[in-house]
This record gives sequence, structure tokens and C-alpha cells, in this order.
Amino acid sequence: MKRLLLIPAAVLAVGAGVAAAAPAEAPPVLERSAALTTAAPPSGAATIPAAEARAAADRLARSIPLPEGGTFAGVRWEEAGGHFAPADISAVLQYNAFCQWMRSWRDGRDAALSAAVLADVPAWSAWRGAEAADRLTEVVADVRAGGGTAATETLADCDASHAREVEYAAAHGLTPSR
Amino acid sequence: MHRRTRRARVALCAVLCGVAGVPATADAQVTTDLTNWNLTETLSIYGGGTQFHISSSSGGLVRYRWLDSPNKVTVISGNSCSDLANYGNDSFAIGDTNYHSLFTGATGLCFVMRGRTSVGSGSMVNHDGRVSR
Repeated sequence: MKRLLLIPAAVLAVGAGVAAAAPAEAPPVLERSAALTTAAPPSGAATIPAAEARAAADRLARSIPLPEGGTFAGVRWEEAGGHFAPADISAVLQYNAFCQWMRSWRDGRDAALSAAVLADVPAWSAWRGAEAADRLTEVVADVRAGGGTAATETLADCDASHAREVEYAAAHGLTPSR
Repeated sequence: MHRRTRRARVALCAVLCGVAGVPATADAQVTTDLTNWNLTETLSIYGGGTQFHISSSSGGLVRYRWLDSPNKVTVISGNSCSDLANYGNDSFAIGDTNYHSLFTGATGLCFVMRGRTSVGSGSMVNHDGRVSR
């Protein structure tokens, strides 16, 4: 009986330890998102053949935050063909990640974290200072307001892309994003 | 005073647009120029992944034209920003600076521009184009 009482106490102690440590450091996703707001796009004129783009994308993806269950498996590097500069690959990954965070926010999966990441998105390196950032700023303003036309339009684009990604990833034996 | 100035501007624009013969639909188009685009025989994305969105006033039609007369046959496409799916493409003959329709999509749809020259024709450097969206 005494042991039964001690076990929950130990679990609670571990839980309390984790909870106490959490505020000391920001979640990694927020750190990565913040870093993208000041990072420069990947440089280099080297061109990467489509057949090698997925491996290059895997390396570049380490700096891009995704919601839980997120992957970049559905991007059609092989089907698109041609070649890519590192900045091209990073731009595709960042927009794909943005879409995943939009769906996460809309679906109520860790909505607060999703909204926090989305607030950074207009300043991410792929489009910072470019025309596309204006549109993303409108979308993020809608997110902040709880919804709106720009967010709805973007989610329709993201949902269509996600449906294609699931199909493509499955056809290649990969795990699609949630 | 401000209202009077604005009315004068509107009237002036109406007169100039009429003189220029600009069709009403052209007023609704949002255009962006693609500068110094370098194409090879292998497909590549314009501008380090520069992204474009379909405007609410375009009717959903995305068109492309060369501003500098192309000296090679080129193929231009619009692809999804998110997964690179090809939304539509068209071929441009040597010297063709007319608009070509690439695809139609919903307002807010994000796309990148990809292009190449025809097989065996070599590269085409520093040519400007314009996307209407």
C-alpha cells in the first residue's frame, strides 16, 4: 500500500521537474522559427539535380520548424525534374511548412504554438521583404483575428497541396505530413 | 480639397485609359516583372524560389509573356509553392512576346515560375518577362 502511494508521488515529482524546466528554454520549434526571421536564404549558385533534391531538402529541413507529425515527404522533387538551387529548395520547404502550420492552427492541433510560429512567417528568409510577404502578412493577420478571407483562401491552397502530397508520398513509400 | 483632387485624378485616369484603349479587364490584372531570368535546357525556378499569389482581381487567370524578345524556344510553367505540382505550362516561339495563358486558379493560390529552353538550343540569359496574375 505504501509502495502504491509512493509510485504516483515519484511520477508527480518527475512531471513537476519537467514542468519547472520547460519555461527556462523556448520550444525548439519557436527557436527555429525565430532564427528564420533573421537568417539569410541559403547561398550558392550550385545546382542540384532533381534526383538529389530530396536528400538536399532533408539537410535544409533541419532549420525549418514543423508541427508534430509534419514531414516534407510529399514534395514532388523527382516529378518536377530539372535542377534546383539551395535557395529554391529552402523556399519550397518554408512554404510547405507554413501550410502545415496553417492546417495545424485551423485543426486546433496545438493552436497557440501554431499561431506563435505563424506570426513569424512573414519574416522568414524565403520571402522576407518580397512581394509574397505582403500576402502572408494578410494571412497571419487573419490568424491573429481568428479567421478571415485570406486565411480561408490560403487554407484551400494548402489543403489541395496536402491531398496531392499524401498521394505522392504514399506512391513513393514515404510518410506524408499529418 | 482632397475630395476634389481625388475626383480630378479619377477623371484624368478615365480619360487617359480611354485614349490608350486599355480594356477594362486589363485594369484588374496584377503584374510582376521577372528580371534577368537565365534559362538552360534543364528546368529551373525563377529568382531563388520567388513566389507569386493569384490576385482577387485577375479572375484566376495566370499568364506570362517575355518582355525581351526570346532568342530561343522556351517552355514556361507555373508550379505549386508547396509541393511543386505543375499547374500548367506553355511553349514560346523565338521572338514571341505575346501573353500566353498558363493556368487558372483560385484567389490566393501560391505559385513559382519554372522555365527552360528547348532541347539542343543552349541557354538564354538575362531576359525579362512579366507574369499577370
